[in-house]
This record gives sequence, C-alpha cells and structure tokens, in this order.
Amino acid sequence: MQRLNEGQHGTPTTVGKLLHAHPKFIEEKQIKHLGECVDTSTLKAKYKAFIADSQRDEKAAGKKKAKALTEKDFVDHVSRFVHLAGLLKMVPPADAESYAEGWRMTLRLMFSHDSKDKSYVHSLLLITGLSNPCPLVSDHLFIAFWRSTSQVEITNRLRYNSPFAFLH
Amino acid sequence: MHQVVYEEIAVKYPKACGMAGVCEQTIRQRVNEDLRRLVAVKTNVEIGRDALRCHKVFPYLDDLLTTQRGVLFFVHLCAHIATCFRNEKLSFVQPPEEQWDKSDSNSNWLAIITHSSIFWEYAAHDGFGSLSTIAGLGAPIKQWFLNQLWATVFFNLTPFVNAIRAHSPGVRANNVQPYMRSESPPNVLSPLHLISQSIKHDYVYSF
Repeated sequence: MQRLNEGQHGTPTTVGKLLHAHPKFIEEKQIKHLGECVDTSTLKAKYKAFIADSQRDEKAAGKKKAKALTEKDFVDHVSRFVHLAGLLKMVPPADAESYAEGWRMTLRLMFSHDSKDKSYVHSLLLITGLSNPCPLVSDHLFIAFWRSTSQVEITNRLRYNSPFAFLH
Repeated sequence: MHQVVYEEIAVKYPKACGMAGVCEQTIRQRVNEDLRRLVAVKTNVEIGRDALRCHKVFPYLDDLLTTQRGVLFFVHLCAHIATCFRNEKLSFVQPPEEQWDKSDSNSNWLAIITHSSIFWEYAAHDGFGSLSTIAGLGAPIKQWFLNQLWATVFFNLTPFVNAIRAHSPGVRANNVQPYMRSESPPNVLSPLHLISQSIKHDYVYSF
C-alpha cells in the first residue's frame, strides 16, 4: 500500500485517504492563476542579471547611464509582473458559462438586427449595457455600433440619452 | 480601446487606415482629438487645446490616461501571446477528441481564446487601469517581462489551455469565428478582431 506523507497529506488511514481525495482539498491544492507559478526570488535574480546586462550594453554603446534600480524597485517590478501573471487563470471560472451566454446574446441581438430602426438597437444597447456586469464589453460594442451609425444620429442620441454611462 | 488600437495600426499602416502621407505625430494628434471629443460629449465639458499641448490626452481625467496606457499594453500583451503561440506551433495541445492537425489554425484558436479570456479578466474584474503599473516600465523591460510570462505559460500549458477554453465553451480550432459575418455572429468574444473589422469596414455587420 502506498503510504502518504504524514503531516503534509494527512494520515494513511481510510479517513485520511478519503479526505485527501475530497474535491474540496483537491481544489485547494490546485493552482488558481499563473501568478502562483512564479518563483519570485528566482525571477528577481534573473531580472537583476538582465538589468545589469542592459546597463553594461548601454555603457559599451556610450549611452547616458540610466538611473540605477534599488532593491525596492526590483521588488516592485517583480510584484507588478506577478500581478500581470495573476490575471491568467489556471482554473475555469465559475461564471464562465453565464458570461459566455450573456455576450453571445448581446452580439446576436445587436449585430443580426438589420432593421433601419436604430432606436431599437439603441434601446437594446441601453438594456444590455445597464444589465451587463461587464461594462467594458458594452463600451466596445457601443464603439463598434457607433461606427455603424451616422455622426449626427449618435450625437443627438448622446445628448438626450447618454449611453456613455456604459463607460463607467 | 478602439481608438488606441486604431492609432497603433494607423501609425504602422497609414495608407490602409485612410491616413496616406500623414506623419505619425499628426495621426496621434487626430486620435487625441477624437478622444477629446469623446470626453467632451460624455461630460459636456469642452477641453481646451492648451491642455493637449502639455499632456498626452486629458490630464484631469485621471482614469483616461491610465486606461489608455493600460489598453495599449493589453494590446501588446495579446499580440505577444498570439505571436508566441504561432511560433511554437502548438499542435500537441489539441484535445484527443478533436480531429484537427493544422497547427497554424490550432495556434490561431489558442491565441484568440487566450485574448478573449484575458479581456474577460479585465472587463469583469480589474479594468485596464491595473495594467498601467507594468505598462509604465521601459520598453526593453516590458519585453523581458512578456518573455518571462510566455515562459511561465508554456511551462504550465495544459492547465492553462483547459482554463481558457472554459471562457469560450464549444469553440474549437475548426469552428472558431471571431469576426462578425452577415450570416452569423462571432462565437468567441475577441474585441481586437471586432475592432479590426470595425476599422476595415464602415459597417461592422455588413462584412
């Protein structure tokens, strides 16, 4: 029987093994985003080496010496990178289905509507924009929609109905 | 976002964007003018041209400059990931149930769903302003960080691809459709594709 490492993985008893295989604890062990895969100390060391190389190259090329980075700067830059990597998720989001359905519905309604009655599309945009939990999507769709509408129409519409509330 | 993307493309391909013979600075000024009008329409406040001389866009609207910088970096991030996917020819990440062996299309699919997934993260949660911190670093440093990001993605490719596929359920390499067509809407939300379509055509839905 394969024994589990005690302490780290619980006991090798039936209860311990059942707990080990429980979805709750499997989920806890799962990496949630790419930021968790980054070894910050290694990255910082590589980053320091990269900066040192760059400065050496610049010096050799006769360029003006840039301001040297402090330890605090290195930590700050690496943390910015970790934040960036953290936005790349490693687990499927719980609301992915509803999100996908939401924007598909919006696109279907907005773009397959070939009527000349733009006020219908506009109303639709207002409704979807106000109810959409994703304001930037509405922002983009609005701009795409803008390009399909004359400037005069859209200016009048903005003046009286202000769909730019979506931009917030 | 639309205008920021347009600015980048117009600087590189002025003729294709209706700016033949126009210098880079003038293109940027025109984009800024559009943004100035956009804010004027939104806030009913006319922004003086003097403000534009001193600052890139609209200094007193704090969010806008930050967002503009963040959006630009987002575009570069997506372009970098798309390029990396294309260069790696990632045919091995195709799910076994799919009969699809064209690695170019597979890379294209992965690039599109990654873009869609990242956009979702910003749109639904953080906003593009959160990217402005890293966007404020120098160009070589940003490039180095992007390379590191790709290295991390590549090392964890399978779980990463499984996660991003969830954002676009049902979308596969052989049916991915990021553009608006007259017969069907896109089956994946890829803002950059819609924007490029919008730049290319006056009417997005008549493509």
